[in-house]
Amino acid sequence: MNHLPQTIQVQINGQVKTLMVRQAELFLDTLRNAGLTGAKPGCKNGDCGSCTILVDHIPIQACQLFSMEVMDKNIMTIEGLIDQTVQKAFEEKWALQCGYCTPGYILNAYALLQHHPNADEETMKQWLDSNICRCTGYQEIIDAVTLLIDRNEYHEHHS
Amino acid sequence: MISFDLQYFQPNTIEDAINIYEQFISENKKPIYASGGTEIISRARRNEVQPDAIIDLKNIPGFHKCEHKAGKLQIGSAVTLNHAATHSNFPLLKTVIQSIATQTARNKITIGGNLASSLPYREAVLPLLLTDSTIVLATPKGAITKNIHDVFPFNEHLKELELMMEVHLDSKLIKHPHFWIKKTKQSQINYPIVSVAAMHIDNEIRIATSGLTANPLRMKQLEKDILQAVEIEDCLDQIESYLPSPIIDDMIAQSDYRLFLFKQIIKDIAINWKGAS
Repeated sequence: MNHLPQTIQVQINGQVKTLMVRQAELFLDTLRNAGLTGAKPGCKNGDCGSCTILVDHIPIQACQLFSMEVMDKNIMTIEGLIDQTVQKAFEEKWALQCGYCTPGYILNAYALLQHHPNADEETMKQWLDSNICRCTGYQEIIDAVTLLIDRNEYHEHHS
Repeated sequence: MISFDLQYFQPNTIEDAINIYEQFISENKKPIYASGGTEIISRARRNEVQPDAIIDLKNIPGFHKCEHKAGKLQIGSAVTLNHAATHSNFPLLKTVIQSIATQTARNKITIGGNLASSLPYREAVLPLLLTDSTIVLATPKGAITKNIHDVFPFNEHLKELELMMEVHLDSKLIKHPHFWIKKTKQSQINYPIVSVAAMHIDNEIRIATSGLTANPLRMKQLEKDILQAVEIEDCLDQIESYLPSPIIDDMIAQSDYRLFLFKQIIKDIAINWKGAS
Protein backbone atom coordinates (compact mmCIF):
# COMPACT_ATOMS: atom_id res chain seq x y z
CA MET A 1 0.00 0.00 0.00
CA ASN A 2 1.29 3.44 -0.77
CA HIS A 3 0.26 7.04 -1.07
CA LEU A 4 1.99 7.57 -4.39
CA PRO A 5 0.12 8.99 -7.33
CA GLN A 6 -1.55 6.36 -9.45
CA THR A 7 -1.82 6.01 -13.18
CA ILE A 8 -5.35 5.83 -14.53
CA GLN A 9 -6.49 5.15 -18.03
CA VAL A 10 -9.68 6.84 -19.14
CA GLN A 11 -11.35 7.67 -22.41
CA ILE A 12 -12.01 11.42 -22.60
CA ASN A 13 -13.85 12.82 -25.58
CA GLY A 14 -13.05 9.75 -27.63
CA GLN A 15 -9.34 9.63 -26.84
CA VAL A 16 -7.74 7.19 -24.43
CA LYS A 17 -5.69 9.16 -21.92
CA THR A 18 -3.21 7.95 -19.34
CA LEU A 19 -3.15 10.33 -16.39
CA MET A 20 -1.17 10.48 -13.18
CA VAL A 21 -3.43 11.40 -10.25
CA ARG A 22 -3.28 11.67 -6.47
CA GLN A 23 -5.53 9.04 -4.94
CA ALA A 24 -7.44 11.82 -3.14
CA GLU A 25 -7.71 13.90 -6.30
CA LEU A 26 -11.12 14.93 -7.59
CA PHE A 27 -11.81 14.51 -11.26
CA LEU A 28 -12.73 18.17 -11.73
CA ASP A 29 -9.15 19.09 -10.81
CA THR A 30 -7.73 16.34 -13.02
CA LEU A 31 -9.67 17.58 -16.02
CA ARG A 32 -8.72 21.20 -15.53
CA ASN A 33 -5.06 20.32 -14.93
CA ALA A 34 -5.20 18.43 -18.23
CA GLY A 35 -6.34 21.62 -19.97
CA LEU A 36 -10.02 20.69 -20.19
CA THR A 37 -11.34 23.79 -18.44
CA GLY A 38 -14.89 23.59 -19.78
CA ALA A 39 -15.98 21.90 -16.55
CA LYS A 40 -16.25 24.90 -14.23
CA PRO A 41 -15.58 24.91 -10.51
CA GLY A 42 -18.59 26.52 -8.86
CA CYS A 43 -19.77 25.34 -5.47
CA LYS A 44 -17.42 22.31 -5.56
CA ASN A 45 -20.06 20.65 -3.40
CA GLY A 46 -22.36 18.96 -5.90
CA ASP A 47 -24.96 21.68 -5.68
CA CYS A 48 -24.55 23.93 -8.73
CA GLY A 49 -23.94 21.63 -11.69
CA SER A 50 -21.37 23.91 -13.37
CA CYS A 51 -18.83 21.06 -13.49
CA THR A 52 -21.27 18.56 -15.03
CA ILE A 53 -19.68 16.01 -17.36
CA LEU A 54 -21.01 12.80 -18.87
CA VAL A 55 -19.67 9.53 -17.47
CA ASP A 56 -20.77 6.64 -19.67
CA HIS A 57 -23.47 9.01 -21.04
CA ILE A 58 -24.80 9.86 -17.57
CA PRO A 59 -24.49 13.41 -16.18
CA ILE A 60 -22.28 13.52 -13.11
CA GLN A 61 -20.75 16.46 -11.27
CA ALA A 62 -16.97 16.19 -11.68
CA CYS A 63 -16.45 17.73 -8.22
CA GLN A 64 -18.19 14.68 -6.74
CA LEU A 65 -15.92 12.12 -8.38
CA PHE A 66 -12.61 10.75 -7.26
CA SER A 67 -10.32 10.56 -10.29
CA MET A 68 -9.71 6.94 -9.33
CA GLU A 69 -13.39 6.22 -9.91
CA VAL A 70 -13.33 7.01 -13.62
CA MET A 71 -10.76 4.36 -14.49
CA ASP A 72 -11.78 2.80 -17.84
CA LYS A 73 -14.88 5.00 -18.09
CA ASN A 74 -16.03 6.94 -21.13
CA ILE A 75 -16.00 10.65 -20.34
CA MET A 76 -17.46 13.50 -22.34
CA THR A 77 -16.71 17.10 -21.45
CA ILE A 78 -18.07 20.16 -23.21
CA GLU A 79 -14.92 20.19 -25.37
CA GLY A 80 -15.94 16.83 -26.78
CA LEU A 81 -19.52 17.69 -27.67
CA ILE A 82 -19.05 17.93 -31.41
CA ASP A 83 -22.79 18.00 -32.07
CA GLN A 84 -23.63 21.73 -32.08
CA THR A 85 -27.43 21.39 -31.96
CA VAL A 86 -27.84 22.22 -28.29
CA GLN A 87 -25.37 25.10 -28.46
CA LYS A 88 -27.21 26.63 -31.41
CA ALA A 89 -30.54 26.39 -29.57
CA PHE A 90 -28.99 28.13 -26.54
CA GLU A 91 -27.70 30.84 -28.85
CA GLU A 92 -31.03 31.17 -30.64
CA LYS A 93 -32.96 31.59 -27.39
CA TRP A 94 -30.31 33.75 -25.66
CA ALA A 95 -30.01 31.03 -23.01
CA LEU A 96 -26.73 32.35 -21.67
CA GLN A 97 -25.55 35.54 -20.05
CA CYS A 98 -22.16 35.38 -18.31
CA GLY A 99 -21.72 31.83 -19.67
CA TYR A 100 -20.15 30.27 -16.59
CA CYS A 101 -22.93 27.74 -16.02
CA THR A 102 -23.46 27.13 -19.74
CA PRO A 103 -21.17 24.08 -20.30
CA GLY A 104 -22.86 22.23 -17.45
CA TYR A 105 -26.31 23.14 -18.69
CA ILE A 106 -25.51 22.14 -22.26
CA LEU A 107 -24.15 18.73 -21.28
CA ASN A 108 -27.08 18.11 -18.96
CA ALA A 109 -29.55 19.17 -21.66
CA TYR A 110 -27.73 17.00 -24.21
CA ALA A 111 -27.96 13.97 -21.90
CA LEU A 112 -31.62 14.71 -21.18
CA LEU A 113 -32.41 14.74 -24.90
CA GLN A 114 -30.42 11.56 -25.51
CA HIS A 115 -32.31 9.74 -22.77
CA HIS A 116 -35.69 11.47 -23.19
CA PRO A 117 -35.94 13.01 -26.68
CA ASN A 118 -39.61 13.76 -26.05
CA ALA A 119 -39.19 14.82 -22.42
CA ASP A 120 -42.34 16.21 -20.85
CA GLU A 121 -42.29 19.39 -18.79
CA GLU A 122 -41.91 17.53 -15.48
CA THR A 123 -38.96 15.46 -16.72
CA MET A 124 -37.27 18.54 -18.17
CA LYS A 125 -37.77 20.39 -14.89
CA GLN A 126 -36.34 17.47 -12.89
CA TRP A 127 -33.20 17.37 -15.03
CA LEU A 128 -32.59 21.11 -15.42
CA ASP A 129 -33.14 21.74 -11.70
CA SER A 130 -29.71 20.12 -11.24
CA ASN A 131 -27.97 23.26 -12.47
CA ILE A 132 -27.87 26.79 -11.11
CA CYS A 133 -27.59 29.94 -13.22
CA ARG A 134 -26.67 32.92 -11.05
CA CYS A 135 -27.63 35.28 -13.87
CA THR A 136 -31.07 33.67 -13.38
CA GLY A 137 -31.58 33.00 -17.06
CA TYR A 138 -33.71 29.97 -16.34
CA GLN A 139 -36.65 30.68 -18.61
CA GLU A 140 -34.41 31.11 -21.67
CA ILE A 141 -32.69 27.80 -20.90
CA ILE A 142 -36.05 26.07 -20.64
CA ASP A 143 -37.06 27.74 -23.91
CA ALA A 144 -33.92 26.42 -25.64
CA VAL A 145 -34.50 22.84 -24.50
CA THR A 146 -38.21 23.08 -25.33
CA LEU A 147 -37.25 24.25 -28.81
CA LEU A 148 -35.11 21.14 -29.29
CA ILE A 149 -37.92 18.88 -28.09
CA ASP A 150 -40.47 20.62 -30.30
CA ARG A 151 -38.18 20.28 -33.31
CA ASN A 152 -37.72 16.58 -32.53
CA GLU A 153 -33.97 17.12 -32.85
CA TYR A 154 -32.91 14.09 -30.87
CA HIS A 155 -35.66 11.63 -31.63
CA GLU A 156 -33.66 9.78 -34.32
CA HIS A 157 -30.68 9.28 -31.98
CA HIS A 158 -32.92 7.56 -29.47
CA SER A 159 -35.16 5.46 -31.68
CA MET B 1 -9.70 19.68 -3.63
CA ILE B 2 -9.12 17.26 -0.80
CA SER B 3 -6.04 18.54 0.98
CA PHE B 4 -4.86 15.35 2.65
CA ASP B 5 -3.74 12.08 1.12
CA LEU B 6 -5.62 8.84 1.29
CA GLN B 7 -5.53 5.44 -0.32
CA TYR B 8 -8.28 4.42 -2.67
CA PHE B 9 -9.39 0.80 -3.16
CA GLN B 10 -11.94 -0.79 -5.45
CA PRO B 11 -12.18 -4.40 -4.24
CA ASN B 12 -14.05 -6.95 -6.35
CA THR B 13 -15.31 -9.08 -3.48
CA ILE B 14 -16.88 -8.37 -0.13
CA GLU B 15 -14.17 -10.48 1.50
CA ASP B 16 -11.48 -8.23 0.05
CA ALA B 17 -13.37 -5.14 1.19
CA ILE B 18 -13.60 -6.40 4.76
CA ASN B 19 -9.96 -7.52 4.73
CA ILE B 20 -8.78 -4.07 3.64
CA TYR B 21 -10.99 -2.47 6.30
CA GLU B 22 -9.63 -4.81 9.00
CA GLN B 23 -6.04 -4.19 7.95
CA PHE B 24 -6.39 -0.43 8.30
CA ILE B 25 -8.13 -0.81 11.66
CA SER B 26 -5.30 -3.06 12.88
CA GLU B 27 -2.85 -0.29 11.97
CA ASN B 28 -4.91 2.25 13.95
CA LYS B 29 -5.90 3.96 10.73
CA LYS B 30 -9.32 5.12 9.61
CA PRO B 31 -10.84 3.34 6.62
CA ILE B 32 -14.25 4.26 5.29
CA TYR B 33 -16.60 2.38 2.97
CA ALA B 34 -18.05 4.30 0.04
CA SER B 35 -20.38 3.55 -2.83
CA GLY B 36 -21.50 6.92 -4.22
CA GLY B 37 -19.06 8.79 -2.02
CA THR B 38 -20.67 12.22 -2.45
CA GLU B 39 -20.99 12.98 1.25
CA ILE B 40 -17.48 11.70 1.96
CA ILE B 41 -16.06 13.96 -0.74
CA SER B 42 -17.96 17.01 0.54
CA ARG B 43 -16.93 16.40 4.13
CA ALA B 44 -13.33 15.51 3.28
CA ARG B 45 -13.04 18.74 1.29
CA ARG B 46 -14.00 20.62 4.47
CA ASN B 47 -11.69 18.40 6.58
CA GLU B 48 -14.68 17.17 8.58
CA VAL B 49 -13.56 13.60 7.90
CA GLN B 50 -10.02 12.50 7.17
CA PRO B 51 -10.09 8.82 6.25
CA ASP B 52 -6.82 7.06 5.54
CA ALA B 53 -8.53 4.82 3.03
CA ILE B 54 -11.62 4.87 0.83
CA ILE B 55 -12.96 1.39 0.12
CA ASP B 56 -15.21 1.83 -2.90
CA LEU B 57 -17.81 -0.93 -3.07
CA LYS B 58 -19.08 -0.23 -6.59
CA ASN B 59 -17.15 -3.06 -8.25
CA ILE B 60 -18.56 -5.79 -6.06
CA PRO B 61 -21.10 -7.90 -7.96
CA GLY B 62 -24.49 -7.98 -6.24
CA PHE B 63 -24.20 -4.50 -4.82
CA HIS B 64 -25.91 -3.26 -8.00
CA LYS B 65 -28.92 -5.54 -8.02
CA CYS B 66 -32.38 -3.98 -8.12
CA GLU B 67 -34.91 -6.68 -8.84
CA HIS B 68 -37.99 -8.51 -7.66
CA LYS B 69 -37.05 -12.08 -6.82
CA ALA B 70 -38.76 -14.74 -4.71
CA GLY B 71 -41.47 -12.28 -3.69
CA LYS B 72 -38.98 -9.70 -2.49
CA LEU B 73 -37.78 -6.41 -3.87
CA GLN B 74 -33.99 -6.62 -3.48
CA ILE B 75 -31.85 -3.49 -3.79
CA GLY B 76 -28.06 -3.51 -3.49
CA SER B 77 -26.42 -0.81 -1.45
CA ALA B 78 -24.44 0.59 -4.43
CA VAL B 79 -27.58 1.10 -6.51
CA THR B 80 -27.91 4.78 -7.35
CA LEU B 81 -31.01 6.61 -6.24
CA ASN B 82 -32.06 7.20 -9.85
CA HIS B 83 -31.64 3.53 -10.73
CA ALA B 84 -33.68 2.47 -7.69
CA ALA B 85 -36.41 4.98 -8.56
CA THR B 86 -36.62 3.70 -12.13
CA HIS B 87 -36.19 -0.03 -11.62
CA SER B 88 -37.71 -0.83 -8.23
CA ASN B 89 -41.31 -0.43 -9.44
CA PHE B 90 -42.07 0.89 -5.93
CA PRO B 91 -44.12 4.08 -6.39
CA LEU B 92 -43.50 5.57 -2.94
CA LEU B 93 -39.75 4.91 -3.15
CA LYS B 94 -39.67 6.61 -6.55
CA THR B 95 -41.56 9.65 -5.28
CA VAL B 96 -39.38 9.99 -2.19
CA ILE B 97 -36.15 9.58 -4.13
CA GLN B 98 -37.15 12.23 -6.65
CA SER B 99 -37.25 14.75 -3.81
CA ILE B 100 -33.69 13.99 -2.66
CA ALA B 101 -30.92 16.29 -3.95
CA THR B 102 -30.99 16.81 -7.74
CA GLN B 103 -31.43 14.57 -10.76
CA THR B 104 -27.70 14.75 -11.53
CA ALA B 105 -26.67 14.19 -7.91
CA ARG B 106 -28.95 11.14 -7.76
CA ASN B 107 -26.86 9.57 -10.52
CA LYS B 108 -24.09 9.32 -7.90
CA ILE B 109 -25.83 9.06 -4.53
CA THR B 110 -26.63 5.46 -3.63
CA ILE B 111 -29.20 3.74 -1.47
CA GLY B 112 -26.48 2.53 0.91
CA GLY B 113 -24.89 5.95 1.06
CA ASN B 114 -28.16 7.70 1.79
CA LEU B 115 -29.01 5.28 4.60
CA ALA B 116 -25.51 5.56 6.10
CA SER B 117 -25.35 9.35 5.82
CA SER B 118 -24.28 11.42 8.80
CA LEU B 119 -26.99 13.98 7.96
CA PRO B 120 -30.29 13.74 9.85
CA TYR B 121 -32.50 13.40 6.76
CA ARG B 122 -31.77 10.11 4.92
CA GLU B 123 -35.22 10.19 3.35
CA ALA B 124 -34.71 7.09 1.18
CA VAL B 125 -35.08 5.05 4.34
CA LEU B 126 -38.68 6.13 4.95
CA PRO B 127 -40.33 3.69 2.47
CA LEU B 128 -38.03 0.97 3.79
CA LEU B 129 -39.13 1.64 7.39
CA LEU B 130 -42.80 1.62 6.34
CA THR B 131 -42.46 -1.78 4.65
CA ASP B 132 -40.55 -3.36 7.57
CA SER B 133 -37.63 -4.15 5.29
CA THR B 134 -34.76 -6.44 6.13
CA ILE B 135 -31.12 -5.46 5.75
CA VAL B 136 -28.53 -7.98 4.58
CA LEU B 137 -25.26 -7.19 6.31
CA ALA B 138 -21.80 -8.37 5.41
CA THR B 139 -19.73 -9.36 8.43
CA PRO B 140 -16.34 -11.06 8.76
CA LYS B 141 -18.25 -14.29 9.54
CA GLY B 142 -20.53 -14.05 6.50
CA ALA B 143 -23.82 -12.44 5.56
CA ILE B 144 -26.54 -11.96 8.16
CA THR B 145 -30.06 -10.57 7.84
CA LYS B 146 -31.66 -8.19 10.31
CA ASN B 147 -34.88 -6.26 10.55
CA ILE B 148 -34.38 -2.64 9.58
CA HIS B 149 -35.87 -1.50 12.87
CA ASP B 150 -33.05 -3.32 14.70
CA VAL B 151 -30.17 -1.83 12.72
CA PHE B 152 -31.29 1.67 11.72
CA PRO B 153 -29.86 4.22 12.33
CA PHE B 154 -26.67 2.49 11.26
CA ASN B 155 -24.38 4.84 13.20
CA GLU B 156 -26.02 3.70 16.45
CA HIS B 157 -26.60 0.01 15.77
CA LEU B 158 -24.09 -1.40 13.27
CA LYS B 159 -20.89 -2.89 14.61
CA GLU B 160 -17.62 -1.65 13.19
CA LEU B 161 -17.10 -4.43 10.65
CA GLU B 162 -20.75 -4.75 9.62
CA LEU B 163 -21.66 -3.37 6.26
CA MET B 164 -24.99 -3.07 4.43
CA MET B 165 -25.06 -5.20 1.28
CA GLU B 166 -28.74 -5.23 0.34
CA VAL B 167 -32.19 -4.26 1.49
CA HIS B 168 -35.12 -6.63 0.95
CA LEU B 169 -38.83 -5.96 1.26
CA ASP B 170 -42.07 -7.77 0.49
CA SER B 171 -42.98 -7.13 -3.17
CA LYS B 172 -46.68 -7.33 -2.25
CA LEU B 173 -46.45 -4.15 -0.17
CA ILE B 174 -45.20 -1.75 -2.80
CA LYS B 175 -48.49 -1.05 -4.54
CA HIS B 176 -50.45 -0.06 -1.46
CA PRO B 177 -51.77 3.52 -1.29
CA HIS B 178 -49.12 5.97 -0.21
CA PHE B 179 -48.70 9.57 0.82
CA TRP B 180 -45.60 11.75 0.64
CA ILE B 181 -44.93 15.34 1.50
CA LYS B 182 -41.73 17.29 1.95
CA LYS B 183 -41.83 20.76 3.45
CA THR B 184 -38.77 22.88 2.74
CA LYS B 185 -37.90 26.43 3.67
CA GLN B 186 -37.55 27.80 0.15
CA SER B 187 -36.81 25.84 -3.01
CA GLN B 188 -37.99 22.29 -3.53
CA ILE B 189 -34.37 21.11 -3.71
CA ASN B 190 -33.37 21.44 -0.10
CA TYR B 191 -33.19 19.59 3.15
CA PRO B 192 -36.62 19.17 4.71
CA ILE B 193 -38.12 21.11 7.58
CA VAL B 194 -40.14 17.97 7.85
CA SER B 195 -40.92 15.10 5.46
CA VAL B 196 -43.62 12.54 6.02
CA ALA B 197 -44.15 9.25 4.19
CA ALA B 198 -47.20 7.13 4.89
CA MET B 199 -48.70 3.92 3.57
CA HIS B 200 -52.15 2.45 3.99
CA ILE B 201 -51.54 -1.28 4.29
CA ASP B 202 -54.58 -3.44 5.01
CA ASN B 203 -56.04 -1.91 8.17
CA GLU B 204 -52.93 -0.05 9.16
CA ILE B 205 -51.86 3.53 8.56
CA ARG B 206 -48.07 3.48 8.67
CA ILE B 207 -46.15 6.72 9.18
CA ALA B 208 -42.46 7.61 8.96
CA THR B 209 -40.85 11.00 9.14
CA SER B 210 -37.57 12.77 8.51
CA GLY B 211 -36.40 16.21 9.57
CA LEU B 212 -38.20 16.18 12.88
CA THR B 213 -35.42 14.66 14.99
CA ALA B 214 -31.80 13.58 14.61
CA ASN B 215 -32.82 10.39 12.78
CA PRO B 216 -35.69 9.38 10.49
CA LEU B 217 -38.40 7.63 12.49
CA ARG B 218 -41.19 5.14 12.08
CA MET B 219 -44.02 6.38 14.35
CA LYS B 220 -45.59 3.08 15.46
CA GLN B 221 -47.29 4.38 18.60
CA LEU B 222 -48.78 7.29 16.70
CA GLU B 223 -50.07 4.84 14.08
CA LYS B 224 -51.94 2.92 16.81
CA ASP B 225 -53.28 6.11 18.36
CA ILE B 226 -54.65 7.34 15.06
CA LEU B 227 -56.56 4.12 14.51
CA GLN B 228 -58.01 4.19 18.03
CA ALA B 229 -58.67 7.90 18.36
CA VAL B 230 -62.21 9.22 18.26
CA GLU B 231 -60.89 12.74 17.84
CA ILE B 232 -57.61 13.08 15.94
CA GLU B 233 -56.65 16.10 18.05
CA ASP B 234 -56.32 13.79 21.07
CA CYS B 235 -53.40 11.87 19.60
CA LEU B 236 -51.71 14.93 18.14
CA ASP B 237 -51.09 16.20 21.66
CA GLN B 238 -49.11 13.04 22.45
CA ILE B 239 -46.70 13.24 19.50
CA GLU B 240 -43.86 14.98 21.30
CA SER B 241 -43.79 12.32 24.01
CA TYR B 242 -43.24 9.59 21.37
CA LEU B 243 -40.08 11.17 20.00
CA PRO B 244 -36.81 9.54 21.12
CA SER B 245 -34.83 12.76 20.91
CA PRO B 246 -35.49 16.52 20.84
CA ILE B 247 -37.02 18.12 17.79
CA ILE B 248 -34.39 19.78 15.61
CA ASP B 249 -34.18 23.51 16.25
CA ASP B 250 -31.87 25.25 13.81
CA MET B 251 -31.59 28.05 11.27
CA ILE B 252 -33.80 26.16 8.81
CA ALA B 253 -36.74 26.01 11.21
CA GLN B 254 -37.55 26.30 14.89
CA SER B 255 -38.65 23.16 16.70
CA ASP B 256 -42.12 24.57 17.38
CA TYR B 257 -42.65 25.17 13.68
CA ARG B 258 -41.43 21.69 12.74
CA LEU B 259 -43.86 20.17 15.25
CA PHE B 260 -46.70 22.40 14.03
CA LEU B 261 -46.13 21.29 10.43
CA PHE B 262 -45.85 17.65 11.42
CA LYS B 263 -49.15 17.77 13.33
CA GLN B 264 -50.92 19.39 10.41
CA ILE B 265 -49.62 16.71 8.04
CA ILE B 266 -50.66 13.89 10.39
CA LYS B 267 -54.09 15.45 10.68
CA ASP B 268 -54.43 15.52 6.90
CA ILE B 269 -53.36 11.88 6.60
CA ALA B 270 -55.79 10.78 9.33
CA ILE B 271 -58.69 12.71 7.81
CA ASN B 272 -58.03 11.25 4.37
CA TRP B 273 -57.45 7.64 5.40
CA LYS B 274 -59.27 7.08 8.67
CA GLY B 275 -62.57 6.41 6.98
CA ALA B 276 -61.03 3.66 4.89
CA SER B 277 -59.51 1.98 7.93
